[in-house]
Amino acid sequence: MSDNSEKMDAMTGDNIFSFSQSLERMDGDIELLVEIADLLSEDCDRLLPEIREAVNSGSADKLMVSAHTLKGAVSNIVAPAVFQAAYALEMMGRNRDMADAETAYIELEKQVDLLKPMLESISLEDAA
Amino acid sequence: MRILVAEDDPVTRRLLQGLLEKWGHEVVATTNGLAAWNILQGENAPQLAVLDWMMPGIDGLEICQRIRERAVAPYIYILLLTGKSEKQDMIAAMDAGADDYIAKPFDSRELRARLRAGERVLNLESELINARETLRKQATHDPLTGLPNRLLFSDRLKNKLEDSRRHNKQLAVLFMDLDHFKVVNDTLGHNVGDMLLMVVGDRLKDCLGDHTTFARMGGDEFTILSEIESPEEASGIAEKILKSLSEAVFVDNREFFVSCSIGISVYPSDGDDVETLVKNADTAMYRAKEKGRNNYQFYVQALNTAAFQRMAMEVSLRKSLERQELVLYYQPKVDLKTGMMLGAEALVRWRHPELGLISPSDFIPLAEDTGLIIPIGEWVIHEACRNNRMWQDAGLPRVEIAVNVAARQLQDANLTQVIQEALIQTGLEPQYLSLEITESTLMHSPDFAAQILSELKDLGIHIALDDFGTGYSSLSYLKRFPLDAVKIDQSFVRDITTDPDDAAIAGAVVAMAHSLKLKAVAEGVETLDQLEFLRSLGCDEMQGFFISRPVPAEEFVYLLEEAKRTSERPVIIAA
Repeated sequence: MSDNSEKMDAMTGDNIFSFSQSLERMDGDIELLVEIADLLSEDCDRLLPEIREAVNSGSADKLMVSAHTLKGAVSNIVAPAVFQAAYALEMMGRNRDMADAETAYIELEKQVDLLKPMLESISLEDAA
Repeated sequence: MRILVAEDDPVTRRLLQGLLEKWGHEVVATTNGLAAWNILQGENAPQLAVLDWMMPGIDGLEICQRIRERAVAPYIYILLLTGKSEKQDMIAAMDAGADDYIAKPFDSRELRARLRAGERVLNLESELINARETLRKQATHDPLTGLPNRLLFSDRLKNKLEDSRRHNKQLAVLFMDLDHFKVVNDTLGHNVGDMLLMVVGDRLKDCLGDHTTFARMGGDEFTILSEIESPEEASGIAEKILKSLSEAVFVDNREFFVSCSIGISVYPSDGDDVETLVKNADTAMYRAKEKGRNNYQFYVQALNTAAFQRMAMEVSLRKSLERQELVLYYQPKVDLKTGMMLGAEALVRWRHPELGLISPSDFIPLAEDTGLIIPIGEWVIHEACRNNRMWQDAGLPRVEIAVNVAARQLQDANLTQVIQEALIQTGLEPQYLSLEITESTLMHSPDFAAQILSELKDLGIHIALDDFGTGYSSLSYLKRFPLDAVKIDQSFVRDITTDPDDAAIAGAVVAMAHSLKLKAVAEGVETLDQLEFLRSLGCDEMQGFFISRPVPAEEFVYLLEEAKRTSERPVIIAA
């Protein structure tokens, strides 16, 4: 692992995003990681409103599906906090227990807000 | 490798695609199960599929099941991608037909390792398919020319017949045989013969094209199958073949002019099954041979007359040697004084696949007329020497085996060489072989016969004059030829005890033989009275049903074993 990768991991904190482990998942391909990070960012933008609406309307099924989708997408990189938050919401939908859904959603939004700038900041030079 | 990625999540799909392309694969990506199923059924379908379990439309599990239900299709290796990681999920995936699975989130190293495992399986699968294809080709094609063989030809003809029956169509079967091919093989060797057959195969390919089925049936025989509108069309094909073969062939720096004879049978008029159509085309081919070769003839019903049946018999007889249908039977000869077995006369029989056991009187005349007696005679000499040597090696009594020599064999300049080779190849000492030659055979060309017999006698082989008394019975011949024994024909033995003339002739033959220092051997002894009478005449040896009818080699072994056991205690004839 390069010095830059270590620096990046130290900056982000492994709980939010592990650059080095995510790069490993891309078989060390930084271009692919950049592309995946962009797609993931777009997915977050698309899925967060869907999850928000499911929570607001109290639709357990919709919550389960949209949270599951976000969890699946984010599982391609190593971002434990967003993964955990999406997983918690998916389980609430699956168990039809929406009592803590609002709180859980706020947590997810917070973690996504932390993750997104990190994803957007990954550039080809990071692997150098 | 071409790989299908079916995944509805765009991030995962892109990641999979990115990784697979990075590793050098060609990726076909799709977002749903239905599209994936269509791609896998289409032409140039990927060999490996990475399928997400949960997808809109058809899910990954159902695609697995559908793929495995296909009866005939190339194998597709399926790697099921799943967020489910419970043991029962994995079992369900494998039961549905997935070859392997990978749990999300996946690691690129794991994905790569599982792909490699898949590639290994596909390589093995491909080797298996190739091996199967090679075996299939070997079983259905002639290795020399690469053309379909008899088996495949019959199969294709059978299918065509079914089709023609349904659609009221005509078919032509052409049976082609090269003219004088045996001469090429015999004079220039099998290698040149084989090369010539390959050239003929190529000529047929060039002249008939890919849409006509043709095959090498074996030897120098080829068959051609063609759908026709009218018999004239079959004539056209035959003419094309004759023309294409008429151009000089160069093999082994030699120029050959090849021709062939072709027989044609037509469905439905000349038969409605594979066997009949091929047989009738074969018969018609012989008619073409009779008509001077290098021509074609259609089968006509008249070919089933006696003359053509004889010709068909000739065809079968010609093939009997290579098909190993000839067998030797042995009739023991015993010493009339001691009852000891001295040897046997080898008698050829033909085990015809359809007609059963055919006796020599029914096929030897045909063999003599057609010259087939030469190869058949060679086989008899070799087989008799081989059997005798085998028995000797097994510790059985050393006896003399006699073989009959026909007139045409005796005229063959190679006879001495053939016998010498048989003795050398089998390791039999010459004194255990004797030749039986009829009077009439010697009469064909007595000078040449005397010379050949002297050569054979010099080798140490015994010679007996067969059927004595039925032909010219020239006494001077008995002196002229280097004989060891005279065989009294069974026609004199039959009534020897009741007909004074026969008794007188037999007695005279025995006396004359002894005065010339030859042994007298009686044939056709069937009763004890005959035996006693011959013994009273001083006859030396005898053979006939009273002792034993001719028996197959495996039964003759028992007689030899019996002779061995009783060698000091003759039991066959009481003194």
